[in-house]
Amino acid sequence: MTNSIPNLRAERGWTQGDLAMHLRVSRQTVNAIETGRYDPSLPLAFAIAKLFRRRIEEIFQP
Amino acid sequence: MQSDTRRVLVSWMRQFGAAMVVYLAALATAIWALTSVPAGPLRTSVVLAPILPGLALIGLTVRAYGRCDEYIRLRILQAAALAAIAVAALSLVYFYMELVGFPHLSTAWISNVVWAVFVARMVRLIATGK
Repeated sequence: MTNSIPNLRAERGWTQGDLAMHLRVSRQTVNAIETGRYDPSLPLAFAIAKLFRRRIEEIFQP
Repeated sequence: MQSDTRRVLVSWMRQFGAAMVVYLAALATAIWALTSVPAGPLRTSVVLAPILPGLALIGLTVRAYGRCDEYIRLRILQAAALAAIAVAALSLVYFYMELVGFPHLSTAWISNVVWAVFVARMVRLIATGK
């Protein structure tokens, strides 16, 4: 699964650590999601969508 | 790694290390007592003593697991699965090796293999996040 999190994060000038802090997860989790090594759980995917004010399918693509 | 998660894992490593030292000391004492202390309540107590720090190792690990986020939990479960696979493979191989004359090993070795593989993966996780 691919995602546009790096772009959305860059638009806000956030580091992976900043995003991790907003999502209350580890920076390694953000890194694993961005690089496609890990697909987030539904609750975390919803939290990401809510944070970026996007729908989940706008952020994650199969 | 987020500071909270990293702190949890580093704290786990410290506490685990301390519990392991206590466990090994209790184990050495138990082995000594088996040959040097006459049978009785004292020897029984000393020989059974390593069980407590042994269970502490498990308890500390379960507690750390509960404090981590979902990705780190997945990595911890993968480390546990790898340890289980290592034990299954070694048990299978050594069972047949014993049949052809290799020395009999205590089941305590299973615990040693599990923890060695698991801790190696956890150290890698803490050091690299992978």
